[in-house]
Amino acid sequence: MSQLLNETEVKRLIQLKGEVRGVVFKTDFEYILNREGEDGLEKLENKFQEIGHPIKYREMKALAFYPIGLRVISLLAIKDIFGFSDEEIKKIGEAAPKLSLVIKLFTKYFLSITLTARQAPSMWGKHYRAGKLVVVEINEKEKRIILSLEDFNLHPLLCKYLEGYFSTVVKMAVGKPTNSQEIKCSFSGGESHEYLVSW
Amino acid sequence: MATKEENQLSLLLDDLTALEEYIHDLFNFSPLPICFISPVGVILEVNPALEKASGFKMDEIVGEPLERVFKKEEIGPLARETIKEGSVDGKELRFFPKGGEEVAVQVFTRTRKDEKGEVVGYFLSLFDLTGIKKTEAELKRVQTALLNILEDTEEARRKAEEEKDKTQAIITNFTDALFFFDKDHRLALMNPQAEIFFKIKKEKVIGESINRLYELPELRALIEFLGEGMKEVSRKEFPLTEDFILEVSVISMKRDSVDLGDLVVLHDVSREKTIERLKTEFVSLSAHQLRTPLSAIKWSLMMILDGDLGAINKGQKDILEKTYLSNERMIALINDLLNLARIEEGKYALSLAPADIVKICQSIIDLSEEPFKNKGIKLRFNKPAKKTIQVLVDEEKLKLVIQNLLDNAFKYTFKNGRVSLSLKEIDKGVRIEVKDTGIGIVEKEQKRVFSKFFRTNEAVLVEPAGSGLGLYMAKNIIEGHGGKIGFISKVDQGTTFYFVLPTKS
Repeated sequence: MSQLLNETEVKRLIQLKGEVRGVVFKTDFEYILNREGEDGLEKLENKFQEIGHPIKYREMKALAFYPIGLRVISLLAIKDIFGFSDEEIKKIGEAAPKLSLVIKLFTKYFLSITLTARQAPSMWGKHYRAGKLVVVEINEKEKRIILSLEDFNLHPLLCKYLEGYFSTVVKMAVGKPTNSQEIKCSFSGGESHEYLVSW
Repeated sequence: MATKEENQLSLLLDDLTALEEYIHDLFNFSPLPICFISPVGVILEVNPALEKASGFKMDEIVGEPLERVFKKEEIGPLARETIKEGSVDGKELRFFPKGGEEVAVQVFTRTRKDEKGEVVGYFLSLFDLTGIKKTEAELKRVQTALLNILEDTEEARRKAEEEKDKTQAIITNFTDALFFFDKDHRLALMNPQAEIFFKIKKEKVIGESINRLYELPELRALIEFLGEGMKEVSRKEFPLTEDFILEVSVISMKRDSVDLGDLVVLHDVSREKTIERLKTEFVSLSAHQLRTPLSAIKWSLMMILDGDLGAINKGQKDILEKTYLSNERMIALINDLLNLARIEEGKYALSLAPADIVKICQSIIDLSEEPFKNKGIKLRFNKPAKKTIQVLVDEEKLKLVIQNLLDNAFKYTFKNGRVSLSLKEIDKGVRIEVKDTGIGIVEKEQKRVFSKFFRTNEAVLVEPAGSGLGLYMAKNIIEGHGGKIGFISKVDQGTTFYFVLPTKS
């Protein structure tokens, strides 16, 4: 068992309250398959087997809910097996909305960033049964949006993932390159996670 | 144990999953590149066919503006039209795949609306026109090539038509009569002049066989003249009537060794013949009129020179002798002119009788030996093996020919030269040669040697006196005997005149 996914950590994560929709595993699956091929996927699934929580990415249902701890384990396993940096984890987050079925259900709200932002809490709720997403500020003139994620303290790795995730969602709404940054973090003493996305 | 609601949710989830998979499969199956575009022009979803067509992976292209693969000025109006009209069918745009050259595509769009009927984006699909454009370009190239060929053909046809018109104009306006018989000896063409000459309309005879033409009185004489085989002839005289004389040439027409037929050209020489006749008559009349006084002068001079009218001194005698010789030359010229007139009038009849050609030659040699000896020219007679050779000739005229040839050899051979008369029996004939070592005849003048009144420049220089009629008459006499005459000559080396006569069978 690796340093990142030791028995204690796995146990802690599995015990976390909340659920997540299978779509997040599907996006991880697409990313790894694309980047590492079938061999990489096999390694990843073997890791789950190893820690005693076997999953088959292909068989997971995008709209079904799974224990939220598995979401963190999936990212940790990826980082562990493939040696990904935090920036690469952010890239998985950037790719996720493009592959996500749930985001596809929300494309009708990508008429403007304001409309998208209005739907953001709902969008979050469609993914996670944990935490709460709030739009702190939206300024189309200055081309920025600040999102706050409250009560969502699963693992710091998810912070980088979500940095990338929010970046792409905003990009899909504005059609321009975006830059995303976590400006407050619960793991660093913040009350919540705050993300500034500008374009 | 699961509650009823949980069971229903589970069923709904299964249905949703099945539906998602179905839509996913359908979207992925489509061979047409399809994408979904947000109202602000952002690519939100693409299918694998579009990934392939654009060269971008899904995560590279999703979230990108549509201008990434289209020209802004082209896609902008299309997006506006789509949102306004609800769809656009088959608009041709330029598509720019990743790192590739532009591709002509046909674009189809259709808007997507929410439950309130608001446009929430639009689907866009592409149809690659590369193949069609290539085919179009090829078709255009082929069309251009065909048009060029057509133009060339038209040009060639026009030129051919022009040539045909020119040829037709030449044939029509030709002053000679023309008949063209095809390879089956059917009359294929005749010109207006032929209609005039033969007083017959071409409509009556075109396409008719030579046998059928023979039945027509207007053409019988011509067909008879041409003969069934229609052999090639050149400028052969054909008197259609007494005062209408034509010169006929038959030319066999071939193209790439393929026999096309025969062209018959009839040239009206009536006028020339009339002038020639009048000229001959004039010469004949003049010669006759001149000969009588010249004969009187000759006899008068002879009487004075013989002393019949009294003694004359040496000076007077010399002058009178020269006058006598000049008068003799004048009489000889008049005789030549009379002979010429007779030849041209066709009155120069030969009185053929058996004779020994060896004896004839010997008699001429005997008479010529002295003048040759006096000039310092060696004269030799090369006799045949046989002592006598019988020929059917006009002896007097044949002597004229041999004497003429020897006279020429005498005149144009310098002192210490050699002249020989040779007689040789050949197959069915006899060949007589007069060979000299004289001045020779320059090549460019050789073809005119047998023309009447012709004398070479060198001959005039060596011997100013001479009518230029001797060889013309010799040719007529020899050909009148059915023989042939010719010569070989080299300047400053000498000349050999020869003729062949058939022996008496």
